[in-house]
Amino acid sequence: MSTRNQRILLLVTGLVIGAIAVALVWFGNPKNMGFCIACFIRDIAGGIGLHRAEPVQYIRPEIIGMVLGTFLVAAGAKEFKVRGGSSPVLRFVLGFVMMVGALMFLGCPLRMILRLAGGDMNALFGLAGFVGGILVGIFFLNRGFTLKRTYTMPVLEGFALPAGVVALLLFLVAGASFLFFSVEGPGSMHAPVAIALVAGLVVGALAQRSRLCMAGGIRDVLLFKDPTLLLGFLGIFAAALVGNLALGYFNLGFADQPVAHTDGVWNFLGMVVVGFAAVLLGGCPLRQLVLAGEGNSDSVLTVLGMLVGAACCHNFKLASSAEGPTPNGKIAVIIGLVILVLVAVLNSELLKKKVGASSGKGAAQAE
Amino acid sequence: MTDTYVATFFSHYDAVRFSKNAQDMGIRVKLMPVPRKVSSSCGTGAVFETDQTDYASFAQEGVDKIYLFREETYTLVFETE
Repeated sequence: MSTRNQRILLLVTGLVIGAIAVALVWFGNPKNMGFCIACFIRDIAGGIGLHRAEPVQYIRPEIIGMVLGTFLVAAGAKEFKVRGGSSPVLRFVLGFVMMVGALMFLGCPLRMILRLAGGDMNALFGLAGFVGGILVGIFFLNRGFTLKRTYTMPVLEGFALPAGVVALLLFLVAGASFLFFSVEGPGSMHAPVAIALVAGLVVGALAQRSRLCMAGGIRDVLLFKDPTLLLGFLGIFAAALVGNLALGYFNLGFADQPVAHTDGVWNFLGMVVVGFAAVLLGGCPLRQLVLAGEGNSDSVLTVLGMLVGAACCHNFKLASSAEGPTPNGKIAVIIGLVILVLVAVLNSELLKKKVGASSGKGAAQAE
Repeated sequence: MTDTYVATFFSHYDAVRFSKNAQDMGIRVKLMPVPRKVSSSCGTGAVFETDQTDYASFAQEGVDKIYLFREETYTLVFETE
C-alpha cells in the first residue's frame, strides 16, 4: 500500500501553499496572514455585514477559490459525494467554538504555521496548545467519541455552498453596494481579486487531492505513528520560512508581530480549543472547507458555524486584537472548553459504561 | 487462500471496535489512516488478513466499505447501505 506518492504529494502541497501564502503577502495580504481560513471567514462575515468591526471586512476571494477548486477537482475525480446527517447541529456548534478559539489566538492552524515561519514566537504557545487540544480529542476518540455516521443526501445539497460562493464572487466583482469593505486595518490589505482567487483555486485543488489537514497531521502521528499528513504541515513551514527570509518579512521575537498579541496563556488556550474541536470534527478549519467543497453537508454546517461564530466574536467583543485578549474572549474560551468536554463526554462511551454496566453489549450497539 | 483487505468506517471508534472484534476472531488487523486511493476521507481504516469471503458476517455495524487489496489494486467487495 504505497504511501510514497501520497507523501510526495503532501510535501509538494505544503511547499506550494507555503509559497502561495508568502506571495499573497507580497501582493497585498497582511504579513503572516497570506492565507488564513479563520481570519478570511471572519473577514467575509464582516463583508456581508454579519459584524461591524470595520478593520476586518472584506470578501476574501481565497475562500471562494478554495471551495470552487475543491469542488471542481473532486467532481473531476468522481469524489464529489453528497453526504451528511452526522450530528449537523453539533457540528455547527463545534465550528462556532473552534472560531472562538481561533480568534483568541488570532489565526487558524494554517496561520499558526505561517506565523511561526515569519518568526512570531507567540505561535509556539499556540502550537503547544494545538497539540494539547489534539491529545485531549484523541483521549475521547479512544473512548468511543462519535458524531455518528453520515448518509447519502440529495445531490442539490452539495451544490448549495459552491453556488453560494459564486454569488459572493459576483457581488464582489460587481462591487455590490450592500457589501462592507474595510478602509483600514487587516481587511483593507488584500491581494488583487484575480490573484487571490487563483491562489484559492490552487490551494483548494491541492488540499483535496492530498487530504492536507493540520490537525490530522499531528493526530495521525500520535495515533498511528504515520507522518504522511504532517509532511504538508512541514512543507508549508519550510516554504513560508524561505519566502519570508527572502522577501524580508521574517522578524524573530514576541513583540510587534503582525496581527498578533503576546499573551502566552491565552494563545495556548485558544489553540487548545481549536485542536480539541478539530479532532472531534475530524479536521481543522482548512479541512472542513475542503470537505464542504466536495459535498459534505456536515462540513458546510461547520463552516457556517465558523462564519456565525466569527460574527459573534466581533459583535460580543470576544476576538483578541494586537493589544491582547478581551475579558469577554477569555470567558468565551472557558465556556467553549466546557462545551467541548460536554459534547465529547456525552457522545462517547464514558457514561454508557457506568450507566449500562449490566447491558454493556447492548449499550455499545445502541449506536 | 488468505487475502488482504482494507476496511473503512463511519467513525474512529467503529474502527477500534472492529479491530477488537477481528482480533477476537483470530484475524490479524492493524489500524491506519484510510489509504488515499480508496477515499478522499482522512479517517481511520483497518488492514486485515483473512481467508473468509463471507464479508457480511464480519462486517459489523460501523463498517462503511471493505476493499480486497491485490497487486496494489483495491476492489470494493462490501458496502453498507
